[in-house]
Amino acid sequence: MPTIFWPDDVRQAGFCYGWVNPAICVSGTLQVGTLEDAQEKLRQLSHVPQWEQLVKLCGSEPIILGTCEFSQTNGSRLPVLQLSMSEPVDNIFVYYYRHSPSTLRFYALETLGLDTANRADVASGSEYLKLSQHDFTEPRKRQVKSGLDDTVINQFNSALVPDGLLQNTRLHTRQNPLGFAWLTFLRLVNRRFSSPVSSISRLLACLCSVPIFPFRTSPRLKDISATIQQIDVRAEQGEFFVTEAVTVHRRSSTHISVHSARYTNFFNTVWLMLNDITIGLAFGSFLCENHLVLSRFLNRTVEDIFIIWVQRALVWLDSWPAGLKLNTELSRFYSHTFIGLVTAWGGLLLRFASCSPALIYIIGIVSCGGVTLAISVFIDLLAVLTAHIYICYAVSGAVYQRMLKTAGSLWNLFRGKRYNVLRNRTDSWEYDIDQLIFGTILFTLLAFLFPTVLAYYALFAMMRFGILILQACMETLLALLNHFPLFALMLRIKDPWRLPGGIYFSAINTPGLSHPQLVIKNQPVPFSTIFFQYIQLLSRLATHYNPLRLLRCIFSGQYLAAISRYSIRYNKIPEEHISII
Amino acid sequence: MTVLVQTPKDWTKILWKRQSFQDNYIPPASFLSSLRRNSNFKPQTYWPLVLLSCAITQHISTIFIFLSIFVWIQQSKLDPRTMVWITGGSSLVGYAIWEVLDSISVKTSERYANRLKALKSSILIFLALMSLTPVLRTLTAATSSDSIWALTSILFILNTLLADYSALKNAGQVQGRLTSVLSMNAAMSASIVLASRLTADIAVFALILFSVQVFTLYPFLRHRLKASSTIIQGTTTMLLSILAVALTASLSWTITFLLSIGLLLITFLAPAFLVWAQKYKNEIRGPWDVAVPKVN
Amino acid sequence: MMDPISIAMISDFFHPNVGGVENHIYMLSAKLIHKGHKVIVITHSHAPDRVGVRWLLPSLKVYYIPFLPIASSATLPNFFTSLPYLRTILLREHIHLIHAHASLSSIGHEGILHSHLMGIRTVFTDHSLFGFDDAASILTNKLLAGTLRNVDAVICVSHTGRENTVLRGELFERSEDDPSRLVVRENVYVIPNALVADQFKPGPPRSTETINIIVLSRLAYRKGIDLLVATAPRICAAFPNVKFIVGGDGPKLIDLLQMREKYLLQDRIELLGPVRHGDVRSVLIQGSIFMNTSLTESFGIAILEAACAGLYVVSTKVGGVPEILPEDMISFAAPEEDDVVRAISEAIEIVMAGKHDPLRAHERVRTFYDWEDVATRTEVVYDTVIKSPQMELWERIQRQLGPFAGPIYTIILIVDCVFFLFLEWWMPREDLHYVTHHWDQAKYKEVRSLFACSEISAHNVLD
Repeated sequence: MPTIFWPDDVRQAGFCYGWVNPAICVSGTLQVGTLEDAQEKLRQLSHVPQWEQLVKLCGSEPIILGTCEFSQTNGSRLPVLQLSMSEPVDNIFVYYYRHSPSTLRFYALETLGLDTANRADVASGSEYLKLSQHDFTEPRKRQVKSGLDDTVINQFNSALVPDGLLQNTRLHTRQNPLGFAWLTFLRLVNRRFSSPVSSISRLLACLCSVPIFPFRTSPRLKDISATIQQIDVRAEQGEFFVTEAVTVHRRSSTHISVHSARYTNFFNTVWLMLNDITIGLAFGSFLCENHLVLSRFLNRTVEDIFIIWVQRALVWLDSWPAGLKLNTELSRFYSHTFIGLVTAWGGLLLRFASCSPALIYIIGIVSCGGVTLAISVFIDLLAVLTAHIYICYAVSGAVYQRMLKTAGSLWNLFRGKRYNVLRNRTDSWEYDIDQLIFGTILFTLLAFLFPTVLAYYALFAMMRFGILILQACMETLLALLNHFPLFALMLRIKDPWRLPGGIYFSAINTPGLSHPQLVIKNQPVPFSTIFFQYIQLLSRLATHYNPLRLLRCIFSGQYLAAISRYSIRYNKIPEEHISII
Repeated sequence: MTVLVQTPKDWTKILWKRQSFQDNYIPPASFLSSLRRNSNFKPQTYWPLVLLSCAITQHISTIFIFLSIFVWIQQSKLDPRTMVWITGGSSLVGYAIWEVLDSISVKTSERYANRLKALKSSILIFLALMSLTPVLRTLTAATSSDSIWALTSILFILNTLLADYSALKNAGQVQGRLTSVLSMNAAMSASIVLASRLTADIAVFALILFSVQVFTLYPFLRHRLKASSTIIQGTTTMLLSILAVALTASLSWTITFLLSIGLLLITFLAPAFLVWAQKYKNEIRGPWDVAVPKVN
Repeated sequence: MMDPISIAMISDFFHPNVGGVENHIYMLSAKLIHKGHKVIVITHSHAPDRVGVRWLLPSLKVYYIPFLPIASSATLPNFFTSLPYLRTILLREHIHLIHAHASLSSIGHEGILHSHLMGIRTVFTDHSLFGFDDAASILTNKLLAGTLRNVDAVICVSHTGRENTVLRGELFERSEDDPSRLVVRENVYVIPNALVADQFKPGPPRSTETINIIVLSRLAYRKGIDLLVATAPRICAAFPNVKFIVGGDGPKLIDLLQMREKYLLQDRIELLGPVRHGDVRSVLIQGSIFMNTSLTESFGIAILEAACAGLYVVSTKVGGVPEILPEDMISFAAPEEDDVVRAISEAIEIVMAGKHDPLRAHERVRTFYDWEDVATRTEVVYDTVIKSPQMELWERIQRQLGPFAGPIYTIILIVDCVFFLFLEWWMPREDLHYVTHHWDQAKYKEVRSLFACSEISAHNVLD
């Protein structure tokens, strides 16, 4: 028994038209008298400009399939079909919903791709790219002769188009009023402000990428400071806004899934920015009102924790901490140097303590541009305030690492081996007697000085670790605020039909029928696709800040670095030259 | 199962020919014929063992000589400068002996190279020690004296246990096994730890120079001397032990007594015990053992 | 011909690892299946997902038990943890006899320990030689002695191996006529390894302008790489037309590299790195002489493979090496540098004079060793074992091991019995899922004749 796809909302008898390839899919019914009239009407439509695109999407032109009547026996809704090309025979009906294109609801066989960096229409540059992104592990789908595939889905999605064309209304402007208002507003804004906004954004982006040193490989400004990074993000968002607003508006030529994705992303960005600015305004006003209290608090905290506590810890280490007897000379040297450094920095900070109210006020004003800007200013502030700890950590870490390396090569010396740098392996080697004796003396020296060096390094490593954790928290928060998929989430809750992630057949029991009827419904996008940026960012953060890795870095004396800023930022605009590394 | 009766001499120990015997046939004569019990066993007699144990006696004597010198320097009974001269003098004597031994076994061209190397080494070590003395003096200054004595004794015991008491076959080979290097390390650490009890820089320098000579340079000389005649061995041992006893005598009578008893035990009683215990030796060797490769 | 029985090969060393013991088990099982018996293999699992039941050609069922090995396929010795698995497997497959391989394989020892509780006979094959004086050997020997007390038959791969096993496992008895003498037990057999000669056919004849010496072994101390490092420069200096080709990897590779650089022999010594088993023949036929400097070798299958490929062999006279080839195909040397140099010079002279014929050597080796022969002789052992009476538990306990190990072993035996009884109650035999279908021999012959025309390499196995 052949299967016929029938639209759920068609209840009038008449001539039904639709497609037969690859499956019999009825698009609608025409209420006309004779077959020739119906065919004539369809032929008229072939002159309409949207007809070409319709035919291309759906594989062939819609034709008149036959007549249908609704039998009213037992109140059932079953249509009785008389197809013109085949015998009247019992058919199985599978129902589907016809959606108006303006509502942006549609069916799709695969999950909607919200990932704009890998968009199909943009990555059309290099052939190699297309090849490299192809999934070879998927088995090739057999050619389906008559079944549900992409063409049929396209036919579902465009089912109302002929209907609308026949009734001669311009569908694509009949959108929901709010969206329409938004888009007109944006169009106006765009026309007036597009070129200045885009040129300002580009200028800011260039400024932020200025390298610090005149080499090509030196770090850029935006790698050093979080604030400049955030300004760069804003500039990018502005440019994105300008370019996308135009294209979102023009939606005639793109496939509905692509258009829906871009629409979602665009409005997501707009919402995010507005949210950001709103929270930023609230936060900023809070800061501005309480700037005196906050500045006093800040001064006291900085002095207590970063200056006085560090000095006390150093003095404690110098005087036999926990009964451990460290080497007096070295310990004295270390503690005097570091205390001097810390005191000097403290003096410098004290001089600027008087303008800390003004600083907080300025941060409050800055956060009107978004709470993300405020957070990034805080990150920078933390880095500046703890610069002395950073220097102490670098110095003691360098000494510790050098000691470990010397111990390693002395171990090789005692075993009679030597590291061959040319061949990158450990050879056996015969040493002279004076080398052995000198190695012995050096070894004793190292063994007895090691606890002292370890104690001081451990102190600063712990402090650096704590500061890094703090910084990591703030950067995570920043990443969350910059990329939260608010719009998509709301859509998912409010109208899951607009975010399709596949189809499923659901069986509906109608009274009076022996078997349940099948309806094709939409499966909403899974949450992992909505949060796809997050999952990437979180995995990157987790690998970098993995506690085991950090502990190993501490023990081997390697430098504990914060995650590089770029890896936790997700680019909204796909770049022209997508590197294939 | 029928057993094929064959004369034993038809059975050969090969696998590539199918023999007419069954697989579980045990040849009565040749089974386990290559088993050797205690093959490397040469029954050791008493006096050669005594001579071999002289090395241990010498080592312990040197340790006690060093300890008594340390106590003298600490109690200011011995002037450090004199100590430096004595160290220099005895190094020259030792080097002269080494040269004599070299002239017997080593070629002339190599001797010139060795002499230059020795000169370079000695100057290097001298200057290095002189520059590192202030650091070494304050290395463990903060530790209390009790821990210092305990640490020193442990390190010297480690040194005695890990030292290499064998004889050296050929000349010029400096690199020993890891354990001998570790024993050298232990002795040096012990002397540096002791040196931190002293107050003057020159005293520290003298002590550490002496310990370098006694614990690192002297074992090489001892190795070479062991390969030479027995009379020299015996005389050296006697001289060293008498010197050790005499020096300790000036410090404390108990220790002298214990030291002399210990030296006598090690030299004379221990070999006797080993000779008695040999009758319990039961070593099996055969073609299945991992062979020891002999390379030149 | 004996009646077909069901045999279980138990060992830690089996495929997917590649090695001598693994190959031996596989080839022996294939030949026994060919003779009509049913054979299964029980071994431990391999990461990441080689666990469960697999089938190998020809109808060999392999059980991978989920145990983890600690170091290179050797598991920690344990006594009871695999009893549930072994009991289930041996009962459901209706096994009559188990054959354990390799002393370092703890699952083999366990199999021997538990089999007598189910009335299953046991045979053990020892593939390696062990010393007596280092700590690892003493422990392994004690474990082995405990196992070998109660096994029904022991097979060794060489006569030296048999002497070694007899000493280690204390396989003596007091003789009946003279109680002061010790007599070796009757159930210790010598059945050598074999090789598939078709896989090692010699290559086309080579000119004697350059003589290549092949060394293929793991580069470790046990394989005598120190001797190779000491002798290679001398040989290269004495014979300008000689080249070395060294294959394999291991901790001593660095010593070889250093020697090569010190004497500037980069063009005379070629290092191939690890060589897969399938590529061994193509490496062997590049040379005319095979050099083996092992310090201990129980059988020396690498030497056989080289001799089969037509190379003249030079080897150190250790272990079971003197027994495997006739004197005119191999030159022996003591494990000393000078002697090795002498032996190799001799070999080079023989090869340069053309006195060694590779094709004839191949034909001779083909007649020496054959897997079919090994399977027949093993079948004889199985037959004897099945027909002999089984030892009682009391008798097992009575075979003392000594003042320390004896009571411990008795306790182990008793606990084993108790655990077994517990398992009999908890997982009764009626509930076991017995295997009723197995590859049918008649169908097997039919399928073979169907594929008889196609040249698949499985023919080397089946024929």
